[in-house]
Amino acid sequence: MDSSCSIKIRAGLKHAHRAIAFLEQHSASYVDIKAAFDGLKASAQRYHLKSFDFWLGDHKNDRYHGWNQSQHNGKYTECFVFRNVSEGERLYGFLCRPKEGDAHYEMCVLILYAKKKRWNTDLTELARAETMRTDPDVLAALRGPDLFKKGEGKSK
Amino acid sequence: MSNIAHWTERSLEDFLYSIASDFVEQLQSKMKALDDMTRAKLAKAAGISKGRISQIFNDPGNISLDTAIRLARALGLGVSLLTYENVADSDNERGPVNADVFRICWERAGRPFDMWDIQALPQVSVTSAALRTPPPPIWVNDIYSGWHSMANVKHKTVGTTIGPDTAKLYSTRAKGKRCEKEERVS
Repeated sequence: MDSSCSIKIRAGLKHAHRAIAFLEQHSASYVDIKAAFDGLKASAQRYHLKSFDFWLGDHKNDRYHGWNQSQHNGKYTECFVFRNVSEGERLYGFLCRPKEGDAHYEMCVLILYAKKKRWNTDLTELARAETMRTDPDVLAALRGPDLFKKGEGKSK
Repeated sequence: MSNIAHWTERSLEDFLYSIASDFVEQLQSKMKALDDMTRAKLAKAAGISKGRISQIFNDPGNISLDTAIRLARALGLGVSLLTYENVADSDNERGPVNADVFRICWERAGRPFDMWDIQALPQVSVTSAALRTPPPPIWVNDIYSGWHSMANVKHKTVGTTIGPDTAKLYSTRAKGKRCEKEERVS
């Protein structure tokens, strides 16, 4: 098992229903969300942070979406993306329910950043998000006791 | 900044961006609802250049109050600037309340226009507040027998008790709504 898998909540730590976390460390080279996001210019970061707020608050808009059963043979129904159309940016991740005893609590774990000109879904990135969703190290980090501690992620 | 503080705590610029984004989202929702409204048409109606509209939509944080009002009115929207007591989140760990929350609450409350309308509301919060702190009983028919005839409506609250807070509701100008309110309370 990889000892450097780390997940940290980046938005909604005290939110009752939802949170957004970054997979900050993992052996897979494509997991770049932390470095990429922290490296964004302030205005681009703000756009995504505001999108996180919209999702946390369950405000419907076109800044984010998932995939349903009818798309890609239902393989990516737990995957999720935040996007900034004008900048051509996407943040890929997956949805999960990490709180035992609270089946309604939902977390979006973002894993990678992509910047592209075209807007049709890149299945490679989607497949990577799905891989991380079922990765044993990621699952263990999500079950860890430190995930919901203030300002700290779970490091295995 | 606390490590769990909301990102709008980082700077005034961030805070401004957040609330301006809410505003621009509302404009965009209205534009979608209007179907044929384009940025060009909006620019013309608001007396603002198309380029400026794009700037605002791409980076809402630099909108001025003047421009905000022009845009809202050009779309046929009312516009208010509001504050609220943030007692539940005084450290701003969750960020500013989304403007849509206020708008939806206002719409669900029947779009009250002023304090008279607020007082006339058959609010659940009023009755629940009355339930939390049980007031001394007051006989409705004893106190309000006067306006029963003024309202010229059939009254159904024989033997119903209400508290002082609820009683205030009945002293409003919205006479036509009084029976409805009393039925809810009872």
